[in-house]
Amino acid sequence: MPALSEASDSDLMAMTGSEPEAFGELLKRHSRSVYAYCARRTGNLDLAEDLTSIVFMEAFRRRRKLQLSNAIALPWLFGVANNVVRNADRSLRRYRSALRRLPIPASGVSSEEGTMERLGAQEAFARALEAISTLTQAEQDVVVLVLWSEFTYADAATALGIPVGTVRSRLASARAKFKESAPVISTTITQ
Amino acid sequence: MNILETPPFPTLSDFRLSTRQEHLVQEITGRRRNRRRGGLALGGGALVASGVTTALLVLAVPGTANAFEAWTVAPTAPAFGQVSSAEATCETGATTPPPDKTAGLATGAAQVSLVDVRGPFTLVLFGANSSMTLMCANGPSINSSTQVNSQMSSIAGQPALPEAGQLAVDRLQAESANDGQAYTIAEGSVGSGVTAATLVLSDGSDVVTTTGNGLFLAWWPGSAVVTSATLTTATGTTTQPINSPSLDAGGSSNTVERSIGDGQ
Repeated sequence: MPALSEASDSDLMAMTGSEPEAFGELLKRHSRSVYAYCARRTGNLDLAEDLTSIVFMEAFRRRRKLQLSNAIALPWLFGVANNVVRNADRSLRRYRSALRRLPIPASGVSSEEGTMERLGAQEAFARALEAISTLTQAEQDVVVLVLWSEFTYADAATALGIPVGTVRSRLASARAKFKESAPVISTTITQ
Repeated sequence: MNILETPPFPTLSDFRLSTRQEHLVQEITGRRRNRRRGGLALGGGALVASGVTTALLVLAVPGTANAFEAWTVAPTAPAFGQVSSAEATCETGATTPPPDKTAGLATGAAQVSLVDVRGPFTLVLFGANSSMTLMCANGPSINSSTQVNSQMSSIAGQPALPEAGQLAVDRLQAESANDGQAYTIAEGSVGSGVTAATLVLSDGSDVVTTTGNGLFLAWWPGSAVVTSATLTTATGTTTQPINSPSLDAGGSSNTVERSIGDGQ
């Protein structure tokens, strides 16, 4: 058996039922990306932390249904994250007990500088979310995955459970709407 | 900012990340060391008030030759992810009411008070206040669910608060699995000083309870009632006769019911 660090995501998922370390390795590989996705979708860094935890608990719960198309779990995790973020209230309620058991962060961990960074990032997220607020939810999903998270069309399709062609059409629709609402900026983009 | 302008990539500090990772691994392995906000610190008294409306959610195992083959006399350590999964399933069931019923059963009632694990079966007691408790039994290969409203029984109409070193059975709930096999859930309180409790049933068998937070939980196949309890304290072991409350009728399998009554 290969070392955990060398095992594929699908192998790790298969091992999670018996080896906690396998799940820990998956967390290590993908939690930062999932966290970034949740933060960008919600604009709230603290909420994004809780949602990231929920994504992985949901992933563990659904692991037997998992079918990885290319042995990489991230698109599938983003698909879980998409549902978790869309239904954030329900997700938080569902895992409320588990989240309550989180250790209280040690004091002094958050420096003033760190706090300012977080506030600055949250403002940036808020502006980004505002920029895509005129799009439909489905279009926002594609924009966040393809443009912001640099997913391929195929991976975005996997994450969202839709055909690749639908990813393309939704992205085209989003771009068209943006051209209509922000012609000056879009001119810059297309140059 | 436009849609092609990627917002910053937020990063978690190594400390925050490792804290989360450790917590998650603990959650799915059932190894819980750190608790906060008193999630498990409900007093037993809050759960035994008379007239309390209790909702019992039962997610039964599918019909097999013996639905309770994997049941154990004594509580067992939870399997990987067993408790988290059961809690999540229970809370989802509680917050997704049947079409003809009112939502809100789990509102404020989702703090876990006690968890009893016997092999693949998980019994979770939620209780947030004195007016509502929620109990959920969860087994493997679930293919049906039953939600049953029951009334919290109190002995002689009074809340049964046990004295130090004593045990009080507040409720016996009769249930049946998909294949019709009966089983019984016992819930109650233990007085201060009780470190372990074993129930002696009317059929002569013993069932070791799960105790904690001034509460106990246990369940067993069949319809036997409790006749006595063997209690362990720092000073030794004693046997306490139990005047067992009558069995509350549970729901039938393959049905989903929930009603929120006033204890009548």
